[in-house]
Amino acid sequence: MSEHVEPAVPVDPKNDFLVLDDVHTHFDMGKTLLTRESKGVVKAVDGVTLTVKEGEILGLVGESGCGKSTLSRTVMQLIRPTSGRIFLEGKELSALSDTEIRKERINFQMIFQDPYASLNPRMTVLDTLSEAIRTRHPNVKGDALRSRVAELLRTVGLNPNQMKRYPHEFSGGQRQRVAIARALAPEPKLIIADEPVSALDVSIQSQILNLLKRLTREMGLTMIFISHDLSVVRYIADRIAVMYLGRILELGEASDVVDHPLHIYTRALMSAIPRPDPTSEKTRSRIVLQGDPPSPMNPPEGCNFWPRSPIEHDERMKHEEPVLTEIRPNHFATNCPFCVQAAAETVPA
Amino acid sequence: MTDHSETAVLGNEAAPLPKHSASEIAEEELVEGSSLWKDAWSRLKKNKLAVASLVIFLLICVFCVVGPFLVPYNSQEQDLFLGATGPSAEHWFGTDTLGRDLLVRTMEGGRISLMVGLVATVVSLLIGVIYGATAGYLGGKVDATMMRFVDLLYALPFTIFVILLMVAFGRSMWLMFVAIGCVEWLSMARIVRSGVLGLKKQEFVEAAVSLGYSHKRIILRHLIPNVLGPVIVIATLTVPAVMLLEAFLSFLGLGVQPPNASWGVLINEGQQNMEIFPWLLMFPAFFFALTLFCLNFLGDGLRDALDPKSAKD
Amino acid sequence: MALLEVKDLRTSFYTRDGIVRAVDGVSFSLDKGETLGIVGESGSGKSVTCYSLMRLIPEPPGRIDGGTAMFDGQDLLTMSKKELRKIRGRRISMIFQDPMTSLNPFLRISTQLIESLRLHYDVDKKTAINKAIAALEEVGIPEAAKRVHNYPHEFSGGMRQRVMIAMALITEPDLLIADEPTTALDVTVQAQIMDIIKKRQEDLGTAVILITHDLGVVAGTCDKVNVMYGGRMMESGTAEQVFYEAKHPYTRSLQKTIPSLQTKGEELYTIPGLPPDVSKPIHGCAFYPRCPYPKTGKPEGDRPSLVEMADGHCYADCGFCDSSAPIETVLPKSDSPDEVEQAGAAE
Ligand SMILES: Nc1ncnc2c1ncn2[C@@H]1O[C@H](COP(=O)(O)OP(=O)(O)OP(=O)(O)O)[C@@H](O)[C@H]1O
Ligand SMILES: Nc1ncnc2c1ncn2[C@@H]1O[C@H](COP(=O)(O)OP(=O)(O)OP(=O)(O)O)[C@@H](O)[C@H]1O
Ligand code: SF4
Ligand code: SF4
Ligand SMILES: [Mg+2]
Ligand SMILES: [Mg+2]
Repeated sequence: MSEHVEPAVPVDPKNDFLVLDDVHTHFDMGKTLLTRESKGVVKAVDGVTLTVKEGEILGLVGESGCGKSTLSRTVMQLIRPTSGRIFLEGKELSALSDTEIRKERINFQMIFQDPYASLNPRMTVLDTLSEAIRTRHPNVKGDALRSRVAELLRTVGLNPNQMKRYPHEFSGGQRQRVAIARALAPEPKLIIADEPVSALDVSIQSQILNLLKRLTREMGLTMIFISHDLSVVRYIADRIAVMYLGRILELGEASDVVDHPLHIYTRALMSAIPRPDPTSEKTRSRIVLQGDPPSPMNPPEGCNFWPRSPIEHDERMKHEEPVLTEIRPNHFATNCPFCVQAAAETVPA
Repeated sequence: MTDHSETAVLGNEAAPLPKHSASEIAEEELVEGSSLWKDAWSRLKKNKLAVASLVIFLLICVFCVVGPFLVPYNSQEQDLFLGATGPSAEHWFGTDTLGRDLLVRTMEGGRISLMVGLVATVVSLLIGVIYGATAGYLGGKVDATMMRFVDLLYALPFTIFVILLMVAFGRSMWLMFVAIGCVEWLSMARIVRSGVLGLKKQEFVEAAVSLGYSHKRIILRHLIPNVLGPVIVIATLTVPAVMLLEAFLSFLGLGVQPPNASWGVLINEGQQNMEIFPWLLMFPAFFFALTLFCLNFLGDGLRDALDPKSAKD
Repeated sequence: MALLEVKDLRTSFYTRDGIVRAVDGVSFSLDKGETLGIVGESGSGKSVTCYSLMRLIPEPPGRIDGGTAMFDGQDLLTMSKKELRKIRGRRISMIFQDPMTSLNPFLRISTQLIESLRLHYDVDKKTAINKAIAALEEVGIPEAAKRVHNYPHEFSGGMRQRVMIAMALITEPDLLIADEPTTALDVTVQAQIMDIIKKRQEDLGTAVILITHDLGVVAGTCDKVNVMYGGRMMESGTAEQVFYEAKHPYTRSLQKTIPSLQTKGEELYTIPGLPPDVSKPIHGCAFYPRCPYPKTGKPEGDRPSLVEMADGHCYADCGFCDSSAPIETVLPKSDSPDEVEQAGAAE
């Protein structure tokens, strides 16, 4: 689409805590060796407009490859956006130079998916955490530093006498706790957790979710929580954004999105969650999406959900690019009538 | 906030949360972790061949360094009347054609050979690791340029390079260190670079970037320690390679100059008189081969000990 | 006679650090067309159970210490390698846990698909390719005729897992063993894959062993469920019995951890402590350190005996399990600090 569509989600970079204004992150796949033809562009994030309020937990859900990690890395400025702007507390991160960003980084931190890869295997927990604490307090040394590390470990539910241990001496859940402690060490305001529980066992998963929720509340943190599992996001998030192929399809309060989903895609995600109840699970019918998500390399023009929509409808519609609009108060969904209406009709009373 | 105990205190049986601060944590309470290095060392200790190799190698080093002080001869003291004699009570290893004591010469030759091997390896290690890590970490155009330079040096024929150096600066042992170091760091840099490229995608490096650490810190603290495993293995295998190279140069007459000798020089002299005075070849060759074997076995042992796959079980 | 009857299977790993009793006394039986779910936390021995049945345990350090696994009248655990090869891949197929590493990246999908077909059946290449295309179509790969010649990396994770299933099903096995076939995948793809397996079962009467740690997946697909913990069986029965009439405290705790069953706003339930370290001998009940029941004593002996009820429902009972109490009241709330802190075994 060539002309710029006015974002329907109101953004106010001066007052909102975190603002993403029409953010695009594309990966240029380069040219072929011989013919110098372009190999194409992966539009991993393709026009995301979002705001996050101070102290809230925003859940971001979507299938694998829809660009969740790319979006979080873009917010973290680990990848610079191709276009669009990102503001944190009124400061435009996307306009800062690399050196300026480095100083700013203590204000926003990330928790990664794989607890086995996200800690330096050659450093003790003490070293890892001390190093991170000193990004904000460069002059803290010796015993004072140690007691800070001990306090951090207690905060995440680990015993401080374990501080001289190495990552491989901990279980997956414990490592994830260390990773959380490291993210907390610079006393950030914003934390992005990219699928922090996907690699963990069910019962450990709950422990980490409880911990994250408690910490954000107690420390007044703001968090973006990413997952592909709505049942997990539902528990932790205040608001939920549903992402599909680089764009947001639905955005609203967690209870609205889960209990009264507007978009058929959200409903399909919900209905794919298996329920631990043999009798109803063996009989109920699901909304089945056809096939896999299309590749973000050369995605379909116009509506990118069209190839998978379970609803029969007018071919002409697929050339329109749906725009996120406020359909109910504070509850946004793409403005295309079919997917949204169809879902609205099937909403249980 | 710290009193909230929804979370289980894991990892230590029935340990209640200590109520005192860290400065009061007595040292004995702290659970000492065992680093991957320590684990590797304990694995290495179980490998009998590697330990034996290490012990023998260290004995050879002591033999070469301390030995000459214990023997009542000087390596350059000639006894032309004596000439070449076989092993005897006075000269355990015999004497060479100029009547010099072969035992001392083997010791001192070993000292030079080992020094060439170790110094050149350390030099190549320092240059190679830092160069490779920087190229791999910075990536993009910087990486491409830096590695192109490496390719260029690779393409230079080694012997011609050394001859050029000798012609330009005259013959000296130190020059040889430089020459060999200059060649060996290239492969080291390549290995480190590819290791770093793999590590860079790991999340702990991304975490370090997002904590705002400086490039220097990330390279020195987070990348290099994690590629050091393979580097150490390569280094143990580089020492014998360098010693062979030195022997080769000595063969060509480009290496250590008389009256100084290295094992390479001694072997060269020895093989010229192999039929008449076989001990001249036998003794230096035996030590040389023994050292090479030891270092190779040690390198293999280290590879097994440092291999992360076996670290998992 | 049951298609597969496993009795008292025991598999250990003899490592430097001691004997790891990964599977310690597992029994179950499976009929034609049935699905058995094996659930349990990570490290409870689910994968090792299945590898043992396929005799794929790396030896050494692993060893099958005992038990029998009668498949159609033959013991899988003692039969010769030659007989085993005739069964493996043809009558019993397996889908592995990691879809990314279980396809050979250097071979075309077609080559990999027809390999086992041509090994076990006398078919020419053309028929084999046609069968491969049909198999891909069955698992929902669009344009199968074209894509059959692609390489694995040209497929997404979900599609690769479907190719794995096509590969496992192409020889029309009697038994399919699926080791966490969907854990690495999205819920949407998971639903599709479970549907494929179910359909196959209805059409051909394939028996399925499904390993997972997601109780939700079990509920929708399995007839029977085995709950494993620390290499041992805690409870087994039909899905309905295990879900609605769970007797064992571990089964009940597992059910309580499912996030979608819990009310929003409250803390999620967690099982206090850690799973047992199976490299150390376990005396008495494996779940004892984490068991929420009030106890009058520590279970004695090697392990609690398995109680079998008239309807086939089976569970480990040390005599302290109060099977009559309803689930909600049995389990204490998770946030009482002392109970949480006393648990947690050293790693
Ligand atoms: N550095 C990169 N170069 C090229 N393409 C990339 C790069 N990083 C991501 N992509 C592509 O961008 C798309 C979005 O990827 P991303 O990792 O953001 O997805 P995701 O939603 O996090 O998925 P998952 O749930 O699997 O983690 C994918 O198609 C991926 O292949
Ligand atoms: N090759 C091996 N050597 C030593 N121990 C092993 C080996 N393979 C598995 N084990 C041990 O056997 C136990 C059971 O492992 P298994 O893989 O069956 O667990 P699982 O239930 O499949 O868990 P997951 O859900 O993580 O796949 C674990 O404690 C594991 O450490
Ligand atoms: S109804 Fe609109 S949004 Fe939905 S698939 Fe069709 S064109 Fe796309
Ligand atoms: S009641 Fe006894 S047998 Fe049952 S789980 Fe608890 S400790 Fe084990
Ligand atoms: Mg991701
Ligand atoms: Mg497994």
